[in-house]
Amino acid sequence: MEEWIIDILISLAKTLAFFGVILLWAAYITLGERRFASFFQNRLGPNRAGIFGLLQPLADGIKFMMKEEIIPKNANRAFYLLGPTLFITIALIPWAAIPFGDTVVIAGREVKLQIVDLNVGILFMIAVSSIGVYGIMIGGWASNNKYSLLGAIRSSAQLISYEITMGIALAAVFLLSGSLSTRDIIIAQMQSPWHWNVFVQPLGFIVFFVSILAETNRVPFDLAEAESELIVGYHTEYGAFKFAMYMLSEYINLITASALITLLYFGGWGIPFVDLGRLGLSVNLAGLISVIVFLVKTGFFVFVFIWIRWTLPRFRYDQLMNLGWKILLPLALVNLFGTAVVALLV
Amino acid sequence: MESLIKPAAFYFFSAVAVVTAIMVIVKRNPVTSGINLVLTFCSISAIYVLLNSQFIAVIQVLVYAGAIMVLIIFVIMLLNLRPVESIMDKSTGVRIAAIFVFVTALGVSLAAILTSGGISGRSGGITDEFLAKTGTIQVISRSLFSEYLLPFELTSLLLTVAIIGVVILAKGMKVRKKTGPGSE
Amino acid sequence: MAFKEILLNMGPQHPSTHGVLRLKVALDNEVVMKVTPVLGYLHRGMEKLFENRTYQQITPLTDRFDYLAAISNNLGYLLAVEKLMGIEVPKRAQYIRVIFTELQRLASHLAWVGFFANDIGAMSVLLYGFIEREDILEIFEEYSGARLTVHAFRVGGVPTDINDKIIDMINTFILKLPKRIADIETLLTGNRIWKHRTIGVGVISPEDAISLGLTGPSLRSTGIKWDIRKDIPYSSYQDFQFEVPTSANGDLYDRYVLRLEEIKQSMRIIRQALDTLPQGETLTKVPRVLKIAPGEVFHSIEAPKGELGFYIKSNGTDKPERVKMKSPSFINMQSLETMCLGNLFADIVAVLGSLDIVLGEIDK
Repeated sequence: MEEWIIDILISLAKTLAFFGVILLWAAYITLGERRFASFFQNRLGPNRAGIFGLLQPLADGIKFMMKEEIIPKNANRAFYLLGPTLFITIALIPWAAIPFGDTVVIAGREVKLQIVDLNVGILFMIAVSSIGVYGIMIGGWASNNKYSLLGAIRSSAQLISYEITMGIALAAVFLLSGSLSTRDIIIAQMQSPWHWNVFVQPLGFIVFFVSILAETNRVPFDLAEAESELIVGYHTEYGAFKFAMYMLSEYINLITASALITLLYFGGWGIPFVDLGRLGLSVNLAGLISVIVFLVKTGFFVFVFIWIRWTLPRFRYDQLMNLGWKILLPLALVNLFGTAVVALLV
Repeated sequence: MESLIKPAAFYFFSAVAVVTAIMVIVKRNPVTSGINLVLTFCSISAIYVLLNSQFIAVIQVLVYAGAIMVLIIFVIMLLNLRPVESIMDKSTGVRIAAIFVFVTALGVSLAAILTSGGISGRSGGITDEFLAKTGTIQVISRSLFSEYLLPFELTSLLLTVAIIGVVILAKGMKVRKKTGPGSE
Repeated sequence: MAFKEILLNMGPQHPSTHGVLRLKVALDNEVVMKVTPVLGYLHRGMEKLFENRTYQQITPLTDRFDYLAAISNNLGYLLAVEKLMGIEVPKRAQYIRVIFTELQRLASHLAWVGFFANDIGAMSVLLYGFIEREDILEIFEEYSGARLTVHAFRVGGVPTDINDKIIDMINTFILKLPKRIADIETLLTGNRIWKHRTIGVGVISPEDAISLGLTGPSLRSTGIKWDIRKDIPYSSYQDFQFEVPTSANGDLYDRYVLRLEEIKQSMRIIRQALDTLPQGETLTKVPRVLKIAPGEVFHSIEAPKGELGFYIKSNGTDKPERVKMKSPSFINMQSLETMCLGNLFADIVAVLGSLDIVLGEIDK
């Protein structure tokens, strides 16, 4: 077989496997969210479909597919359908640059557990997620409903504002690791847990965490779909599978956010005080362990997001903007400036 | 294989860029125009990737598609613009003038391209191998912060002035609204 | 960036209009310019129905007004009827009435805390409030067999005496509640976001509150000490020691703190009533066919949501000529626009939640 055919086959296999994992995971977060919410609220949650309700996502999926597809009469049909499609596509793209783990050896060649290791990896992810706004804007506008439009407008304003803060917080991380590649950033944190950026950059981490919480449109920043005011905001008019697509993409964004936190601030697949390379494991076993570690860390942050959602009240729109522009942005700038000075002196 | 994919991709994205750019002008619905412009930016960004400038490609998407166009479409949605029916003057004089301008512009650009020695342009010291070794970001930042430091700083000054100007304009409008006649 | 003024129709199908209220809202850049409530989606013609029922048959209908505080409605109506008849209710029955009305106040306030928190986005508190309310509903079920529309009292007293099991249930509940209230306070009272959303929002001045006829906790939050239980005592409220909490700012946060304080005061009243429960009859003899001599009467009580008054005109038959109800939710709705003007769109929902409206009582 020719070399490039093997290359393409491996890439294809990685892509399929990764997206399969993400979609499945997102589906099960819906279950996890409901079970944890029930736990926080002293009730049981969905536990009828399968053991512990494990078949619930399947049942939900079937339900969404069987429902009647309704398109509002006054909606702009093409854009109305484009909205959720675009949103889920863009939600999946950042995963091309996220590394799940270290390297493994397949068919005699070293394979990075990552679809592509771009030298502008993080920037690529931010760029793609900045286009994600269009899914919300188009959907909200095309529905031709005032609540949807208000939700879409709020959401896009919020995303644009918090992207700036997030970008500046990230710049400090780039400064320390000297690279924009996701893999390099993880490797720069590998020496010990004290090299994790969360300890090196505590202020930056707080700013980044709040910003990404706002980026994922979740409580306390879920103004785009603030149930008590805007019904569900930009996807008020969506039903059946189109709604499921919006829902699923939001959960994919949630996993992306957790993965970003893991790889930028919590050492990626590194285990504290354990050097996988020195244990004498085979490369493939070490690679497998690294994947598990990464998934566990990411899963933990997904849980933190769920935890926050069911505990806190919601900000008001003007308060959200104030927080972003008047508190987080100056903090992020101070953090970047301080980091630059220290990096220059040390 | 390589030699086949790259040109094919280039022509594909160029075609998309040109077609969507035309759509921006032709479409009557302002939101459709806006979305088409976003597509244009994205295909141009893809062409940058083919030219091994990932950084420029990403920034193109981040700044133009992800920020500027979002704001523009945002405003369009806020104003809830209806499709334009006829704001254009379609008299014969205007048409002749339009054709004249189009032909002149096309001629000037063609002349410029042909006299400067082909579409490929001059090739400098930055080759694919050099980029692979140092990385695009390093190359860009080095020239930005040494050779072009002054223009870079002047640009940032200009942008700051623009931001302050906008803030003052926005504040001034609010003040006028509060004190002006007919307002409560 | 200037918004054109948006006219937004909120409801009657909207998750946070507490039923089927419809609000016509004019927004300028998310700032509220105008709020016009449109009522009548739950109108059942109750006051007309009363004219075709005997005095005893009306009592269960009053359950359907404020369905979150059915017993308070019972009490308000029955006190008016008894005043019209000029009969005295036995002391033990009065105490039992106090116990159950105060339990109902607890239930109503607990549900309110949940709904209000949910309107501001803290979704878990809703369930916390409801778990406690559940215990109260179980006490009601033990007593009367019904949970929501309880029909607990009768003309002339209460139908049955309370037994030891019910006293036990109430005692256990009163012991348990302070800890649960502390839980809710941990989640909300000191929370920065909660304070941002409630302090200085939905403010109403004492003058405006009086001229708009605001009653209940919302009135007391402006600093006016007016509680009918204290000022015009009925059903032996003068026998108990309790405070009427007030606060000065008249904003959402004050209304929230005030209601939590009222919960504590209600527990105090229940404890005192249980300790000093007198022995004796629980029901005066009342003729089965109740014919009341022509006359008219107005009597009002302090319901959980504010002043609940009943005007009854009798004409000598067994059915009233006219019953008019002064329902707190309906009257308090009037101040909605005053509280909302100049605030943001999201605040409408919070203000509406803080008023503690029940649509059954507004539309009647």
